[in-house]
Amino acid sequence: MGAGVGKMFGIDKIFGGLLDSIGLGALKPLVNVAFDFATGNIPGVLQDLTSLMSSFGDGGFTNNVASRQPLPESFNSDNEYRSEADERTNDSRTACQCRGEDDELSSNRLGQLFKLLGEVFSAKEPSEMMNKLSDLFRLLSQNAEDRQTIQNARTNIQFFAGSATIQA
Amino acid sequence: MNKPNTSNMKTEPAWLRAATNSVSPRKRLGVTEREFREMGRIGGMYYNRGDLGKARTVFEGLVAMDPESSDAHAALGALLTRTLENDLAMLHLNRAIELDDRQIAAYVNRAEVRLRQKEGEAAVADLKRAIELDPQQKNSAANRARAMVMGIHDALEAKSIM
Repeated sequence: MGAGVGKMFGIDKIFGGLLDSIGLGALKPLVNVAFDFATGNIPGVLQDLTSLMSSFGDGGFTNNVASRQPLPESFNSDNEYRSEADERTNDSRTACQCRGEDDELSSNRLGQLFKLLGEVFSAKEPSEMMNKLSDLFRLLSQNAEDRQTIQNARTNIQFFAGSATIQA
Repeated sequence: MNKPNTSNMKTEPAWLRAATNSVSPRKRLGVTEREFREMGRIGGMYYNRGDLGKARTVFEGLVAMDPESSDAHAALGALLTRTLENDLAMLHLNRAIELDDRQIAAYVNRAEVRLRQKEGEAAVADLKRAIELDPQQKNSAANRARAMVMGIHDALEAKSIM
């Protein structure tokens, strides 16, 4: 099959093309050492791979390939599954008056979590775990404040833009 | 969903062992599914932006907050795969799969680590599983597995002919 693999799926090159574009250009030297060519069942592996590739269809999947080591779907900040996953979630534990209207991580809610964090951990708690949680909340809090700042700036811009339109 | 395999405990960092052995802070804090996912997405945003230090802070924090979250382990495993920390990556990717055997991203990243660790046939098995879990070819992680399969096939065939 050789160079024909790419052609089968409408791709000019596997190496130097598709794989380089998704950060897997180094796959080839890895493959060369990952398989035992002396004693391993290379023909069997090749047969397995050929069988797998026969299910790939026309290669349309190449238009949607993770360009770096993939995250789980629910943590992917730019994936298409977000709204679907959001709709599926119906967590009764969300009933808490301290949350923002949109139920997202507002700086208010993070402040509450920070306070709770201090309360629930005793002095006996392993400090490194506590540090990791503390670092997490500090970063998230900063992120929420940044988002709030951006939102405020947007609101101000819209307000002033509106005023300018009225004056004009 | 299976309980974590305790055979890895010896190689676990102390903070992770401590988190695993206590009532999860997530439960004690009353952090909801949605909030947890939102935190994960903030980590994902940093990760996609290439700010791996901040992404690591978030993902390690989420593992500490809920050591039984497959998503948290899979995310940290992805980051560690990216930073070439193979042994630690394997620890979290194995745990992610133990907690959820349909965790596509973890299979794909584990395959990459396994290739680096010269476990080619085990890597192919992981890629196969990832592909099987996404027959519609809609998942970008599974599609990465498809691309890897093509690459491995190409490289193996070229080497075999030589």
